Amino acid sequence: MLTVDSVTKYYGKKPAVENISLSLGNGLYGLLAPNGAGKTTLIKMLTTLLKPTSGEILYCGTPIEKLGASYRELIGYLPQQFGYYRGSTPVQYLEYLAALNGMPSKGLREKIESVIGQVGLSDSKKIKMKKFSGGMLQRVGIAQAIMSDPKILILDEPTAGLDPKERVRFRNIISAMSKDRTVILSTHIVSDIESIANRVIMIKDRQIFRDSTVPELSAELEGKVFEASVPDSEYERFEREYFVLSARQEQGSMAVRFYCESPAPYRPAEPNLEDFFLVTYR
Amino acid sequence: MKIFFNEAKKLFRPIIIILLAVFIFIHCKGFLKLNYWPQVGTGNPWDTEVHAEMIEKFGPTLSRDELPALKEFYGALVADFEEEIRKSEVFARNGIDDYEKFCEADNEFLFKDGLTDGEQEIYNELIRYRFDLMPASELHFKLNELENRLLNEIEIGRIFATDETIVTMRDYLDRQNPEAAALLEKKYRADEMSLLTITPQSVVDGDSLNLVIISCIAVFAAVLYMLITDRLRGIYPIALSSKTGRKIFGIQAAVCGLFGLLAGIIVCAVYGAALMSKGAGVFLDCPMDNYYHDMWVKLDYRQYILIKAAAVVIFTGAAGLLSYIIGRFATNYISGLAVSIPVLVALCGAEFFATAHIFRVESAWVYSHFWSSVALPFAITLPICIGVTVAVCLILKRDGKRDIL
Repeated sequence: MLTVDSVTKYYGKKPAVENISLSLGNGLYGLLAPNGAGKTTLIKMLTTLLKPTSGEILYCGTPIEKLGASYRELIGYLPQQFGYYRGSTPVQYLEYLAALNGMPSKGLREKIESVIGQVGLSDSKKIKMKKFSGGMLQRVGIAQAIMSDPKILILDEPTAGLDPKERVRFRNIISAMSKDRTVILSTHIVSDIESIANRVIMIKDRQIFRDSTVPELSAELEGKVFEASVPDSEYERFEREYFVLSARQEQGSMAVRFYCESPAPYRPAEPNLEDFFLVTYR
Repeated sequence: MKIFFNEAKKLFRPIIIILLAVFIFIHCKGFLKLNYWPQVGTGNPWDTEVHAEMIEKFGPTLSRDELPALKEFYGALVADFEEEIRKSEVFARNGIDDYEKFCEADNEFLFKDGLTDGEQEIYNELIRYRFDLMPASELHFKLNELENRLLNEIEIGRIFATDETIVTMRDYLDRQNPEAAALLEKKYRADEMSLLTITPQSVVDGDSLNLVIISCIAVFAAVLYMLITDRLRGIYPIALSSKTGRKIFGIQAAVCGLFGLLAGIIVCAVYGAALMSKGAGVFLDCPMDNYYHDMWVKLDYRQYILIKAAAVVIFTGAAGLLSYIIGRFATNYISGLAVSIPVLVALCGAEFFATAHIFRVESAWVYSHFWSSVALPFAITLPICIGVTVAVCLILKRDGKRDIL
């Protein structure tokens, strides 16, 4: 169990996150917020790269600072900017990170082959990473994060650069992994977590704004999301009147999905997490 | 170990090592001249050679007992030169047929204004005999060197002083403080003197600074490039959040220090080979303490070179650690460069100060006493080395207490 207890982080005099408290057991947690909201700061504190200005983070009741290396041994981390050695092959790179993680050399090669296979890089395992596309590199990043079977898997914007097929593959991998471990997936892309997150943690104004399930969050907009077909000529006026969540051009009109606090004379629609995200951070 | 080798592999790249060695080799090929300034007076190719010939004949030192043999050696050179003089029709027409008359004519015409046609002819021949690269000028330069550096000094009593000759120096000695006067007199009365000429020492003095500058620049460039590139590529977050990844900074510091040491060793080895290939090997056994230099420790030229090399190696090791400190905090190449330039200037300035004073006590004799218990180069090099090592340790210790990124 990972507990974040009233954690605040300041960069100089500027607060990045304030009074954050969370309890994270096994399962997949989507950390959802727009860019610059403090997700990465929180993640860096969870990975011990930053120290909280106040409050503490505990693993099974012990501050992670005290646990030190034995806590970091439990972490798999994919940072927002995934760093790699351009001249290394994925196998060489993973071997090096395995050494950093203190993984035993016995059975290491098989383990590496296995994770490389999981992320679909078996055919490219002997190619230097400088020749990799952004998506392939991201897959190496995912492979290194899951390689040591971490108890806590922390992924910061992991799907950046992945194509739709790769995204689905990635979601399936981490969804399966979340059964018996804590997976924290930080993103501003709602679809990455909507279908797989057990809980969604939203940060707003540097504080936890919501810590709920996807259905609970969607339910908060019940009766407030509508659909309508608006003639092109009226769309501008409509947009001023309502908060448009999405709009699609059709012949002579716009198919609009929008948010309205009070009941509106339009067709009600099923709210989803993306609607909640847009309404929250509008 | 794997972490260490991975970090070392990034820095100890063969291309960097080869480039450094080639650069030093080219530097030596182009600028290292054993017969060049500051060899007093001439800058000709034979000043050092005559000393080398003497070393072959007398060994690394000349003793008071060998004075007759030295004069014999000198006499043989004079005889050879007179043979050359007699080959000249101009000198023959003007009755110049021995070395004494040559010197008289030299004194008379060399700086005289308004020469007649006949005098001009003698002047031109004198110039030819003195400065043209021909056997006569070689002999003349060697004679000059022996006279200026040895025989005249012996005559006035600065070398192999006797009770009679020391009288000539009495006024000068009396103007010194008693301590310095006693040291000087002891030195003048010594029964043995080194045959090391000034050039090999001065060349090593000057070049040791060049070597420090070149190797420091190379070390800074390689270390900063590695560290800043790693930072910009985002290598650290994954490493530092792994079980043993925090060791990476300590390992990098060690690797940078070792790289500095290796760069210093390579630079010194290549330079040493070049120096020996140019003929400095003949002086290796000569004591450093000779008639124009006073050392507060007894060293021979070989030991002097090795100590200089050790100072260069230690200094570049310190430069490796210093560049690591800068590289730890530089967030991009520009900031790394902006900090490195003044640091390098200060570092090389400190080494310049050390080089200028290394083991040598120039005219101010009081320093001989004052510095006699302190090795000046290491008085600068070692504090820098210790300072940066302590700084690195503090930074590594601080990593555990503050944000690591």
